[in-house]
Amino acid sequence: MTRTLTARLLQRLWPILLPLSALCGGVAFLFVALIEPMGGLGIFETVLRMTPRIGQLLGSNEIDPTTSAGIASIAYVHPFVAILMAAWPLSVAAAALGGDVESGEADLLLSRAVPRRAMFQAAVATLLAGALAMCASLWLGTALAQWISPPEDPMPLGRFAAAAVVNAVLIASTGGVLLLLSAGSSERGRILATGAGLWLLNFFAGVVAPLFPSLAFLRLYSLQGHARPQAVIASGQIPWPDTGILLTVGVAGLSAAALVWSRRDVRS
Amino acid sequence: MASAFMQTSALTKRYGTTVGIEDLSLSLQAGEVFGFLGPNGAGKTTTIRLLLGFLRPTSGGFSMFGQDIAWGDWRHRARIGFLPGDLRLPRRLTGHQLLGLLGRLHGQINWSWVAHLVERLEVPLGHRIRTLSRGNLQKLGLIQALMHRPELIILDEPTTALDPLVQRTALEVLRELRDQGATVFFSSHHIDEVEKICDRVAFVRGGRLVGVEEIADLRSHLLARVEVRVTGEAPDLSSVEGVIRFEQRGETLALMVRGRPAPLLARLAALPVEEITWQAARLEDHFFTYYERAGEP
Ligand SMILES: Nc1ncnc2c1ncn2[C@@H]1O[C@H](COP(=O)(O)OP(=O)(O)OP(=O)(O)O)[C@@H](O)[C@H]1O
Ligand SMILES: [Mg+2]
Repeated sequence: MTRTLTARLLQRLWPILLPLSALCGGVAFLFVALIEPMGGLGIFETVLRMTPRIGQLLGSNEIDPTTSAGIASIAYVHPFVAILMAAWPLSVAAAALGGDVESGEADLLLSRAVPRRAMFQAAVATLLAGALAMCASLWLGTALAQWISPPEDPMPLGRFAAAAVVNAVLIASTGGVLLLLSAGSSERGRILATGAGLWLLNFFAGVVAPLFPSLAFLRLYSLQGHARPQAVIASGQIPWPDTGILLTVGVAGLSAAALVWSRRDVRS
Repeated sequence: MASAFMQTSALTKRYGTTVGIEDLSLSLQAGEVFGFLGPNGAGKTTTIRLLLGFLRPTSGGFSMFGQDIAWGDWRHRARIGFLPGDLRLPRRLTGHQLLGLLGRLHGQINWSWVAHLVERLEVPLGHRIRTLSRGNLQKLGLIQALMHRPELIILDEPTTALDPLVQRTALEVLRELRDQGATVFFSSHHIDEVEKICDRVAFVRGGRLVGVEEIADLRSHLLARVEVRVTGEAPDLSSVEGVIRFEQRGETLALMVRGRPAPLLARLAALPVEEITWQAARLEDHFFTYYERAGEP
């Protein structure tokens, strides 16, 4: 039953998932493929040095900008990719649960022998499947670029895979929070608006605030600030306290969402 | 099985301070067609959504198929078919895809029965749902509610939701299902729409159950407003059998009549009647007079 419902949700959402994944892969590809035509690593290093704020935004304090791996890793935290990675959980949250209530799909499904739990599981399965697809695509972009135009200093693709997993965890934990919002709501528009607002706050606190020393503490209160794929690429180690926080928030969000969804009224 | 097919006991739902339905105790027998009547905001949809597990009762509960249904129970819903009042179907699917999806969820579907329904209602299944006409959409709604041959069919205001032509076929199909043993529970605004098919009706108003009656009984108590104009001196008709209200305004007599019209007609036959109008009273009047609660708020 959950499989049928997941297939149904993916059927509704693949027109969104496909371009999101393709764009992730494309950005990752470009960050490697452009090194050569831009005249080597030097130009990136210069840019990152000359504009320290932008450099920091792109992770200059985590990576070594004189290596291809360092430059390629920018794709994993680039604000554009961050937006793509938020768009997926937002889409799932707007389509499933609260979105189903608004569209009448909840009436159609829950009036028959379908437990609410199955609908919830389908939403989570869809969220995770999309997170994996996007991050696999991100990694494939890097790998493909390395294969087509190998840089002089080869990149550790295994570390990039781990970094992609960290990003998948970020998407999942963002999804946990957004599904909680969705589970209690009955309006797609409100889920999208509130969700996007929350995400912007999270992005500001986790990525923008740290550029200013007096606001740097805000990073601790955002999901984005705990997602450190570049640390994996630089050190080969998953930064556990941070990634653990993402996982904890994700699991807590999903548990709360399951509870809210199982108890709420589905009004017409 | 000793217990009723479906039974609600003191079922109550409040939305904050607004009453949805209060203290509803009803009992349905297997195989009957039960009409759930009431004006706007009476609590009909609230009751139906409680029975389907969409809403959590504030207090009270219900049983179905002889079993108490707790919050979160879902297996029994395999035996229910539901047509919502505001039908919304996935717009991008075709009818075929929709029925296929629901079939997978149900597990076991008798597809020749579905084919029979489709043929009977003449629904084009190959088109996307968003391109369907209103009537065809409603028919598809009916098919999704009946495709798994439910034992209990719950319809929220089908007479408002369905076009007259669809309604007629729908009523035929429902009768057919009833004859095969299905139980039907449906809500409506108007008694004239349901009396053709119902065995019993309940009337709710303001979240309260006013009464439950056999349609046959109710008919014998139907009320009418009668106005008669006579030439010359008008006689006092207040003592005629069935007349429950009598008012005299010059040559015009205004009466409220309950039950058989024969005694009044017999009396009028002997009078110099110029003009007469005979009008069925509103549903609420039937119920409130029947229960002699007309004065209650
Ligand atoms: N989601 C809700 N929130 C608050 N109040 C509600 C909600 N749904 C219904 N009500 C209130 O509960 C009462 C019963 O509403 P319900 O929709 O059950 O009536 P109904 O008999 O189906 O009416 P109608 O004939 O208009 O469909 C009304 O006073 C209505 O305003
Ligand atoms: Mg209603």
